[in-house]
Amino acid sequence: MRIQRSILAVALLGLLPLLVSGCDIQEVVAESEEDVLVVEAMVHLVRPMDPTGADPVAGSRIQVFLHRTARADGGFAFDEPGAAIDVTFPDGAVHRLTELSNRSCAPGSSTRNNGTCYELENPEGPGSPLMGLEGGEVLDLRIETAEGGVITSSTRIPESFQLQAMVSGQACRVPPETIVAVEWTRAPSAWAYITETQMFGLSQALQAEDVEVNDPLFLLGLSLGADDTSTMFPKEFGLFERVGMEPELIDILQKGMPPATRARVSVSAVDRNYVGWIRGSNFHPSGRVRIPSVEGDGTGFFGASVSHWFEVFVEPLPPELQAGLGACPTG
Amino acid sequence: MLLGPLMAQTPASARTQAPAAAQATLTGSITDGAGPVFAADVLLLRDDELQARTSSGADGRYRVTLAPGDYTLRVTRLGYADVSRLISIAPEGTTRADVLLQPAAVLLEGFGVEATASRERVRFESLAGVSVRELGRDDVKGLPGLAEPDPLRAIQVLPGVVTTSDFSSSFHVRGGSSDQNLILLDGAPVFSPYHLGGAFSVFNADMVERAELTAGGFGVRHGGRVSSLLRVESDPGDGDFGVDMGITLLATRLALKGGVGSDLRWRFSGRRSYVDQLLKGVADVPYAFHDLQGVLEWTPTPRDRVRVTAYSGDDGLDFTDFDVDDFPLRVDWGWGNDVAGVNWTRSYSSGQFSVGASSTRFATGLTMPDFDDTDFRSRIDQQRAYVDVDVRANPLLRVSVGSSFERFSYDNLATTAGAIFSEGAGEGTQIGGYAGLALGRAGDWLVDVGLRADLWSPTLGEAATELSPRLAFKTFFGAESRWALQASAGRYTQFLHSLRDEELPVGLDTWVLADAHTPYVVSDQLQLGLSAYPSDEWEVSLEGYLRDFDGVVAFNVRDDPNTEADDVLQGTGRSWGADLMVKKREGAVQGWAALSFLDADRTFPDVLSPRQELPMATYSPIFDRRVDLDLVLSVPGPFGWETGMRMNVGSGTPYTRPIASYAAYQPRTLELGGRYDWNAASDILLGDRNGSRYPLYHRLDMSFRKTFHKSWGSLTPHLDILNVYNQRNVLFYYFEYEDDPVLRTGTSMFPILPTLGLEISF
Repeated sequence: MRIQRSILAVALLGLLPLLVSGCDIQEVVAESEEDVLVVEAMVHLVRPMDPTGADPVAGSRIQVFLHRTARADGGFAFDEPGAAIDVTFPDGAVHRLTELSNRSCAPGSSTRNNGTCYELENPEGPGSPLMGLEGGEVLDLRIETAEGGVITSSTRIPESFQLQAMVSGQACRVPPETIVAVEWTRAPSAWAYITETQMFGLSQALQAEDVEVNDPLFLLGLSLGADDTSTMFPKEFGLFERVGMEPELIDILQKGMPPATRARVSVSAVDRNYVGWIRGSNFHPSGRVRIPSVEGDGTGFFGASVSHWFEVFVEPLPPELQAGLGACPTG
Repeated sequence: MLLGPLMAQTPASARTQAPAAAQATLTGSITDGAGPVFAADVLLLRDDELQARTSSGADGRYRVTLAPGDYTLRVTRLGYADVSRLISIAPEGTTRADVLLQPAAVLLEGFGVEATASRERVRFESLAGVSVRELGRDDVKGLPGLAEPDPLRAIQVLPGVVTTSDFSSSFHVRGGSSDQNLILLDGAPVFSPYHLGGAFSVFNADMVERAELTAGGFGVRHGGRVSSLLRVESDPGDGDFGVDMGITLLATRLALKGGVGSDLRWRFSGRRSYVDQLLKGVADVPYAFHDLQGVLEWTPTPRDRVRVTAYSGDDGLDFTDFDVDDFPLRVDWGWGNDVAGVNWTRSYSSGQFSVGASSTRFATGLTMPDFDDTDFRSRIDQQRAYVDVDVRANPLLRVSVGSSFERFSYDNLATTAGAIFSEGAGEGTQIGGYAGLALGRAGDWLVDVGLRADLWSPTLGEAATELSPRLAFKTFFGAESRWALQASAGRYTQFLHSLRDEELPVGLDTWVLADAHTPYVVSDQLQLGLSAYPSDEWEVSLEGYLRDFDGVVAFNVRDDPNTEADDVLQGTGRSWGADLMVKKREGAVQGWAALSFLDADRTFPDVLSPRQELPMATYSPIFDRRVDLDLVLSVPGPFGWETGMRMNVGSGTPYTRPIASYAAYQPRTLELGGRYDWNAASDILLGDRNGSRYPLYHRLDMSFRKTFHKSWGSLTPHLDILNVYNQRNVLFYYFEYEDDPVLRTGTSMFPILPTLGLEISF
């Protein structure tokens, strides 16, 4: 009986590779690709705005990143220099963006993928037009490429909102393995709130548990709709990173952060265009399909976000922080 | 008139058996108390051997010549109890034998059924306008199958039926979506009757007596779906105890039948996949399904029949015990149907009365044990009560009236990590009523006219009333009224939808109800056809159709999270086409060829438009297979083996071709201060929606069965081979635009797939 069962099991197992191996279609040379300009344009506002513009990472900016669809002989590495890019503000003022020579729009790009970056000059300095922007206002974008192609779009700035029970740009303390309840006021026209965290010190804190983890660990979270104004940190972060995370790390982060670690957390209200571009459309076997919001001679999006951020320090705290750091709201 | 005064006929098979020296004549009338009975099957037997055969004409009379002597006269007619009596035919002159038939039936589309004669033939002669195709249990088992004999896969070989993937047993009829098929198990609706994401249906072939598909023009009795009506009838057995077992590579099934006295018959079955158990210790198989089904029929009097049907099935896909290295996410996913129904039918000499109730539910749920904040679930429930009355006022007029009360509720949620991706819940009540008149003389001309009214009342939104007039006409011509021209027109309504993305080859339905934000479907349909039985051996039909669909919906991938009003996209559809079927009904070689032509489109807001006000886009839906040819043959093989063959050739289905790809960037606030991160992935740009088509689809399936009769019962081993010549039919294409040159690869549907099985009966 045992032998018969084994034979049957082997026979069944034999069918599985047959199913899998029989499923490939022979590859053939396809029609050549189309050459399309891709626009990634953002109005990124950090509140409260740093009037000095000293923080190069967390600063507000308007940037437009132009790149092109892949070509068989060159991957994604195609610049789009010489474009005239104008952003019209609610007061009617038109600001032309400056073409940057470096890859500051996408610092991680390589020779296999890059494009051309355009930014608003002095976005945070005194007199910056971004200082006067209000939530609900609409900005218009017009791009004229060096070849004469024209692309237009508009974006609506999400309303300003405030973090609840904590101060934007500041830090708070929390005991180990404790969930931080993050809440904020409603931004009525926001389509979603994107939450991000960078956690520092996890690899050292989890060394004893033999858990491998990136340091810093970057995780994303999401609250859909203007009314979803809360999240649990770090329990509800890692929405898009859960697949493939070590179960031990998942288990730890569901309860809180380990001792002597810290994290930066941001909450960004984003508009319709941003959400459409990020969440994608229907399933397609060849890859993700994004929903564009620019019209004309190209595809892409012109989105807007308004961000707040704060830091969380997990006890025990370093001596220099032990005084003056308030408690984070917990849940 | 087209009909002569006498319509006696002698089939070829009977003629060959009739003695050449026949000189005597037998004649008589077949009546049922209300009038003559047309097309009753009249058989003359001696020692159980058929000696002669004919059928009654439009005036109920029959006539047959044969050798004098003693015979058993047997008269059968769909919808009536069989009558057998001994008669003696005198050597000379004419012997007369009149027969009074007693109705003994349940209603099916307005007339009684319970007979062994050709049901399709009787429908041809008795019903106006409708095209009903029927598959019996032997048909289902004789067709090559994917491990399990499957009534829904068998349906796919009928004209007008299109399937888009080998992996799915869901089907589309004449340009309708798969959620627009009304699927009834003994009269009880079943929402999503599939195992393994659609690979198998929930219907256990051992339990099925027959499956009947009405591809269009169904009568006013049925509401709630717009495209087709599939009735799956359970077989309670003959009352004798018996066991049917089936073992396939996928599952084991067991069916028991029996009875109590002469009034009660029952059949119960259970089925379970066992690969997970079989491979324990060898490999982890995360999937298993089981189902239980039962039918009980009680006939306390010859006029009364009570039938109780129940089904419960569950599928489970459980990765919770898997190592994360083998599977990246621990999920526990289950789904299943529960159905229960009861029906009481009382037959009178002048009609029937039927009352019943049913409850049906489809539910699915996915959880992740590592995340207690994850809940993906979908459920729909329906409770239904109905009454149908059918009265034959006179031989030329039948009146049908009825009403139903149906209660629906659904609850859908998709949430994880605190984000609610979609949610919806609601209830609705549908009160339907109908009245229909069937006029005419069977085999001469027939007219069905009816009106159905449905009141739909959802919890969200205002109540709506929809009137659905339906008209059907048929006229017969040619020798023995073997040809008929038929036409039907009608309006059909549907108050619920599945939001499943039909472009996915497998998947589960997510049902929603029509309400303030979700329209209901109204479909106007026209059918025109020619059908014929040129001989008792052959059947031919050609039917054209035109349909439009208003109020079809699709999940809105770009909905505004701040409002529920745009959760679904509202669209329209249209289809037209023609179905040809040629069927050989008798002889050693039997089978049919079904050729279908379809042109369908859907018009929806273009979700990929950059504009805020979305323009409408018209495209061919995934099931728009323009030409589809099915050839089904049953051939006696050597050494007593029965050979079944199905050849399917279909033009390619539409798909949306990518035209380019680009580096996928993601804005990052913390890490990059609003700049873009590239994670080495790429996204794609699409060309016109479904503007390209996959290549020609073709596949040959074969089955071989032989029944070994033993003293204790029978053994039937069977071998099924799907895709005999291993054709790589395309499931998906993939385009690699970063390669030089640009490459197109893909995934095929089933490769050659042999499966073995064994059936045991005693």
